[in-house]
Amino acid sequence: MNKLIILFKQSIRSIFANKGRSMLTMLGIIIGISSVIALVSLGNGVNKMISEQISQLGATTLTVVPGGGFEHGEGFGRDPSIASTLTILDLETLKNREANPSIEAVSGMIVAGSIIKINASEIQITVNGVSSEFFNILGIGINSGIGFDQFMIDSRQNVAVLGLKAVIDIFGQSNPLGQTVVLNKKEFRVIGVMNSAPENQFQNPNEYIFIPLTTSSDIFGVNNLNAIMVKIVNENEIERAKKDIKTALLVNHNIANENLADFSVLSPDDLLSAVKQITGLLSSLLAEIAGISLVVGGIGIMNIMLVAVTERTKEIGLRKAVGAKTSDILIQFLIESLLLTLFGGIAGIVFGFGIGQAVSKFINIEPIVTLNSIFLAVGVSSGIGVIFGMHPAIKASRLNPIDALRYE
Amino acid sequence: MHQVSKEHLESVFYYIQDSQKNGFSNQSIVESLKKAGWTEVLVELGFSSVVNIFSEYSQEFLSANVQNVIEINDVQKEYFNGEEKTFALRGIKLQIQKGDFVTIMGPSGSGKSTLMHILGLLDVPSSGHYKFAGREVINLTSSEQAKVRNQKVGFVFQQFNLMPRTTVLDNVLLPTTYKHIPEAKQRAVWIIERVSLLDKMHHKGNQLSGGQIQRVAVARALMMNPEIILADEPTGNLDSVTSEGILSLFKEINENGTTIIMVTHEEHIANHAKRIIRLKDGEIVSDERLLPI
Repeated sequence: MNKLIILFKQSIRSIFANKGRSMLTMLGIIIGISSVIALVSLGNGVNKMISEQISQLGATTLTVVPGGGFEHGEGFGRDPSIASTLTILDLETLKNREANPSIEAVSGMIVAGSIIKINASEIQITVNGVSSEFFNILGIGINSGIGFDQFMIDSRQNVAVLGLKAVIDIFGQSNPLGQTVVLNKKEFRVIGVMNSAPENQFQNPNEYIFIPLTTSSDIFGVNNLNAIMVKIVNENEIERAKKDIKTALLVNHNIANENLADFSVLSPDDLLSAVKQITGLLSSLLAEIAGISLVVGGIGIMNIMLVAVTERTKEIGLRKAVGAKTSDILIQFLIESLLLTLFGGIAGIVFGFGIGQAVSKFINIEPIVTLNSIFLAVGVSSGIGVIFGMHPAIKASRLNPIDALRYE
Repeated sequence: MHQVSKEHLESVFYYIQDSQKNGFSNQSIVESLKKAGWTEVLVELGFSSVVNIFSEYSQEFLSANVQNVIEINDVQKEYFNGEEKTFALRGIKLQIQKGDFVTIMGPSGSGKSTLMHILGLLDVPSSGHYKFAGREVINLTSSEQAKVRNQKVGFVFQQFNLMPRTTVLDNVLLPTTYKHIPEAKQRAVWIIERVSLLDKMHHKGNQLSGGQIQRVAVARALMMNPEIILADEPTGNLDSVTSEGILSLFKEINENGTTIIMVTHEEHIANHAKRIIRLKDGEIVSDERLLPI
């Protein structure tokens, strides 16, 4: 034990004696570990945020999206590139309360990017065409003014509800109610402002403008829906509702085999697992890249340790002369490479944390560094030190003392 | 009361030792001591007085004279240069007693360094026997040999004696890395004081002169209180004044009972020792005693 402590001290001394070289040697490990820590912490942050948002949707909201296979965990779904397969007819079918007693409310969604003209300036904005039940289903509600009613929808009126941020973007501090905005050369009267909605890195509903589904179908010239939101009467009916929706839409789409469905019915849990699948795939891909840099870093360590063994051949000879055993020399050099990678790992954790914090300033994700990822980083970097330090250490320990002392 | 001097007792012991060497049995040695009138003297003195006299005068004398610290027989060392076999040592037989100060001399290629390495257990002979401090050491494993080097042998080399970037104190403490000894630091400081480097204790190797570096090496060699100190051309890189300083340090250490074996090729350096062994072509060509042990 005493021997190990002394060897540790001596190793630290020799690492600090060559500060510049030790830093460069550690660089590979620092880059590898810091990118792993940054990626994992940001990935954790994304997962946490999405989970929270999905749980805000409420357990009784189902989302029907175009493309099959999402709910079976087939990744991105079949043929995501083709145009949406959901139609106004599908929406009408699901609205039939008698045929679908488990459904409480339904809203279609048409999403499009557009430009609003206000005085002389133009503002990029996302337009959501929605049904009258939309704000109710999302559980957000109207802040001031009114939402859409069935009459406005059916009569295809040019009315708009704005998100809170959109109000500021367009009207600044003045009262938007009753004012008009020009969208695709048509004038829309602002009738309401939506309550603050939860935002995330993918979308911020507060920046959106909402218009009746029918009107959006007219001005953008589309008949297909980007999604249908369905509110279920209560949680116990979710499975039944999913089945009902599927059956009804399969009939509409003339598809006999359920497995070939060109749409997916997603519960919040399904959404969660689909999102986690995507983020998981991304972070494992990035982790593999980081892993390569760790291997490269390890080779760097091996290289420098081999140089150190050659440089310090006489020291090894001297140590053997004063009584170092083969195993003592082996342990000494293993401790040195272990300490190099461990210091690199610790620096990597600090840098990775910093990178995560810096990135979060730009993309609004809170990085989460878990104890597990710190243990993993420390474990991986020490493992690299031992594995890549082994060859140089064995080489050093096998030196013959006389040859080592005479080495020129 | 009889006055029994140290010299009297010494001569008794020399007598006993020589008789044993010449193969006389203990009984016949006792008989001849009786005849010489010695037993009466010793009996008259009483056992405890004899012990007192011995512990007072002859502790070192006893252990130094009764025991060979090094005993090698028929030691050969051969090297292979491809197919060709060359001998570095051809059947060396050598005994070195405790407390001696021996120089091994010879031109380069005479095998003196090889002999030195074998004596220090840094190298193993191709054949032969080697008893170190009464123990056969040829067949020890490498870690057992490392242990002997650590605890029984102190090395002073011609160059690269110090660890780079390391203080005098830590250099002297280096052997204790591999074997913990109690109060190592106090002992190291005490030894550094003995080699007159107390004021340089926290200096590093590059802040020391050549003579000071060799003093540190001597201090490190003394750290584990070894049976022998092996010095390989210890003054090879030093001017004559500094060399004298190192040699008188060796003499002082030797007077305190530590056996010293020094390799050199310089006659005036060799003359400081008590015994000079000359090697040529791997064989001992002369063995000359200058001073008694």
